[in-house]
Amino acid sequence: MSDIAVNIKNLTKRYKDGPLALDDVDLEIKKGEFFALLGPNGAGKSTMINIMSGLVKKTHGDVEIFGTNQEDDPTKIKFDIGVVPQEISFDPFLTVQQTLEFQSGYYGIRDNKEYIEEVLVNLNLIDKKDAGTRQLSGGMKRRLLIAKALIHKPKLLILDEPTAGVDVELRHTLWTYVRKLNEAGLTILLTTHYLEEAEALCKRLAIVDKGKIKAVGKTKSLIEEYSGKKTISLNLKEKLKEVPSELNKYETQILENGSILEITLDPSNTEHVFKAVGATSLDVTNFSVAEQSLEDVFLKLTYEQHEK
Amino acid sequence: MKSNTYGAYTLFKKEVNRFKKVWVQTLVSPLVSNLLFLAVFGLSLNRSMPELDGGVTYLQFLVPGLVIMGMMNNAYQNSSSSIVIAKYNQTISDLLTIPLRPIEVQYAYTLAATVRGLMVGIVTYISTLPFVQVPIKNLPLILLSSILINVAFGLLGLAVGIWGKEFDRMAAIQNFILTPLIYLGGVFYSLSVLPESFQKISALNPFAYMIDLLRAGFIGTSTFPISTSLIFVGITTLVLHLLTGWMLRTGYRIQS
Repeated sequence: MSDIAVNIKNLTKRYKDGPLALDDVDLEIKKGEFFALLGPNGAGKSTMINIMSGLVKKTHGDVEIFGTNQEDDPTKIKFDIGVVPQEISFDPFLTVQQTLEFQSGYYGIRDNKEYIEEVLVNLNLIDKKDAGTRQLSGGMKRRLLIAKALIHKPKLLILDEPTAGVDVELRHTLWTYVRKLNEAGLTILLTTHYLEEAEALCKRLAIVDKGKIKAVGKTKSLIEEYSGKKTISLNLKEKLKEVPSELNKYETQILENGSILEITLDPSNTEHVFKAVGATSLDVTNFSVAEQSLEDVFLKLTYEQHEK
Repeated sequence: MKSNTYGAYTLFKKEVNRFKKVWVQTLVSPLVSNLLFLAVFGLSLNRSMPELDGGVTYLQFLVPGLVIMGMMNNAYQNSSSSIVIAKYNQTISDLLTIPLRPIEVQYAYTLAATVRGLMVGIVTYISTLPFVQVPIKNLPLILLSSILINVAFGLLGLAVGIWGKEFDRMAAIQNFILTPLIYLGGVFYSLSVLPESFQKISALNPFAYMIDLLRAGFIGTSTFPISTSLIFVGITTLVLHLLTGWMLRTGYRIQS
């Protein structure tokens, strides 16, 4: 058996009369991973998981989940995955217990009482099992969505923006719970636009923007790779119109109408940058150094391009 | 691909559960409106209407028409409103994510609609017994044709529910297409009493064959030959089956 949970190749989606939501995306997630798709709203994260769950038809490409190609057997994939959607929606006629009993039935499970109880206890919903879904608070509905996705014991749990609009306390409760599920062996794919969430939960992540994967790798090494980069801001006595030719080969930016020059440093060029600055006729009155966080990297990879 | 019979049965159960919960609206109100029709048309017109072939009174003629009308409306409404409500509640996406094949979804909805249609039909028939004794000349024909009719209207409701974005559309189809075709298809009168030109137009109304067929099972006489009606009803059901099957397989209007 291969150790690949999700294998996506050349996945493209163009909505009717719409823009390209996914543009030739490749992605591989291993069994047992806790993986994040990180990106701003409208980046294509939901499109990607909605194709996996069957809500959206792909334009072309291949989706393989636990070795089954979606085109060969979409139903098998539906048995293997559990999806926690972004939008909260329940059948208003049913109670919590009934919602989960019907959900079990759809997966061919006749008697799932014990497991339903176990999941409800774990998600702290057991007191509400006979309550109608309309009587639940927002946070309880969110937890019921997770219960619903877990009730057939899927091998891959997909969480679409699980903590959007959720208070801090519930966010941490949910994090603890899904972390436990992952430690017990469940493969989890999470989409989020909160960097903090991806950092807290996932060992690997992909940064998605405008239908493309901009970067993929270990969360830690992505942070290390980019946090090695620093920026130095030089406050200048005289306003600068253009970057001196000595500094042309470095990544520079003129700010504040020319009174600040910002240069990006990485460990390999720091020394050269200082020498190059010394060789210019710039009159530096002050300077400051800032480290780039993954947040900056994320913003750089995504939002800035939207402005262009 | 393995089939998921218990999953399909669960969806069927949920659909039955849905109409049972609002039984006043789904079972009692059709009963009341049918008894009103019986009072308005039957009791007032019965004496002035001539007996039909075989000594069938107008009331005996009318009751099977009311039974069919109740079945058609309710089978149609069950699947169409269920789908439109699911779109409204955004639970429609569940149909795509649960591990049921399109044909299993189709059968679950159609069967639930059939159960509701049959319940309304039976309740309508029983409720008229104190007022009029309608013969049952051919029970197998009644069973076969009522199942076919309910299946056809369950499928039709499914198709309209998938197609329609709003309750408006669903109601428009019912008010501007179904109700006129049902009323003009011979629920209240025998097509044979119409002027010849109207008879010819009525022969183009697919529902006229359904109504005639089921009524033949009760009173033993029919306007069209039974075999013609059976073939016609069978083909209609098959076409609707293929249409909704195609809609569900391609994700028409549900999958983006």
